[in-house]
Amino acid sequence: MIALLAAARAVHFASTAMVMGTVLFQYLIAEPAFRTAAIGGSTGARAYRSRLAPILWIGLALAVLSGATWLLALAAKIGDQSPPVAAPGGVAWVLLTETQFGHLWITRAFLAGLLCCGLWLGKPREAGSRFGQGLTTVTAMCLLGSLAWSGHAAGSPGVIGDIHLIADVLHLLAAGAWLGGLLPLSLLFALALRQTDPVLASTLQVATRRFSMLGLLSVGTLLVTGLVNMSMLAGSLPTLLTTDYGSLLLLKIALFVAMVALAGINRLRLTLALPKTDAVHRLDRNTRVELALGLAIIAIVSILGVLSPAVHMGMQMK
Amino acid sequence: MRIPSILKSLALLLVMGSVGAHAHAFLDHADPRVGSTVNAAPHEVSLSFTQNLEPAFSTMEVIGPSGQRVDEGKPRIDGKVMHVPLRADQPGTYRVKWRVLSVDTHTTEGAFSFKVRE
Repeated sequence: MIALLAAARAVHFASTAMVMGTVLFQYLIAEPAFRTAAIGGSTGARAYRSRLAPILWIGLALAVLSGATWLLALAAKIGDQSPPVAAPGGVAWVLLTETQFGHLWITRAFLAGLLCCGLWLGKPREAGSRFGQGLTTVTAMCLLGSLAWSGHAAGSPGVIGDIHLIADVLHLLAAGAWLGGLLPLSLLFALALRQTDPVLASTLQVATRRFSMLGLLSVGTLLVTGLVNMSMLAGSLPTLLTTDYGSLLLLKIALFVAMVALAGINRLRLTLALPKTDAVHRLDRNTRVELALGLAIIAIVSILGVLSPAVHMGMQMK
Repeated sequence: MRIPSILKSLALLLVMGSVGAHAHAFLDHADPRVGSTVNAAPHEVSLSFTQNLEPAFSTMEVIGPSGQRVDEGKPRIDGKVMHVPLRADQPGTYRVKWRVLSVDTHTTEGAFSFKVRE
């Protein structure tokens, strides 16, 4: 049951981050870059938007399905039942209607509905209305950020708890902006490599620089909020080194460092070499590697959430 | 919650390192106290935890000296504290077993005893 719970968490984190990152990338990076180059109505821009739309719809569908699976797997774990027994009316219903987690899930289901309306009004294929874009951006951020209330931070009492929650919300949003933006960035590289349009190449340059700025902001936020979270849950150095929680946390940090190193190479060397085809190829390759590392980090985070934090070593646990 | 108090705590947190926030509900203290001996049978047992509890999935049972349950009804939960009334008047050893779900959806459980003097 723990494995199903961790898997549902992983898919949910990945899909909500993908949706938020894609929305931010389209509305804050790609569309302004298209407008700067005055190619918003071009074939290339239209082709790009038509590739983003399925990512958003599939991502949202996966988020809803994995959210429901998360609820059922958690109910099964709490009630010591298998998911089919937990599903109809029993523990899952009580969990949904009588607990903080359940109320959060009802709110998030409402947010997912609003996001669906925003996507429909925002029409990612056509750049859509400003209202639709705004609604999509805000609801996608709320859908991801609200996950902080489902984790360890939700239980920390007092001012320390408030700091933990704020740090977790910012950590999730920064991770979503960076990780979620990698796939749309990679699609933009692929499009530029396929269409040898010089205007599209200059758009790519603008978009890469803008994403680079967003990436810097995200890394800074992830570092500070990650330190706060670590001081809350990691415990002492020995517990960090001797517990499963600590080992996974160290692995997560190592993968994060590798991602930052790749992002550094992209920003300091390859972005400057744009629009050369070789630089686009290498940026595209690095972006895909970063995405793979990011997904591995999400898998680790999903497992960390179901483990007892290292700070609890020695305390009584079920 | 005031912003300056948050900033002060954040600064302390970053300067002093680990503060060990509780991400699961652990028993902080109990009344009657864990392992204590009291003069008369208490009217209720109350357990205080390190984190807010979910009433729907938090339980406590108290077994009296005769091996029968002496707790009455569903425990009452106020945030981090769980109370259960007792119908107890016998001297001897009472065993308290608890299982709680914290608001971050983690389950913890435990047991302890206290004695009532003859």
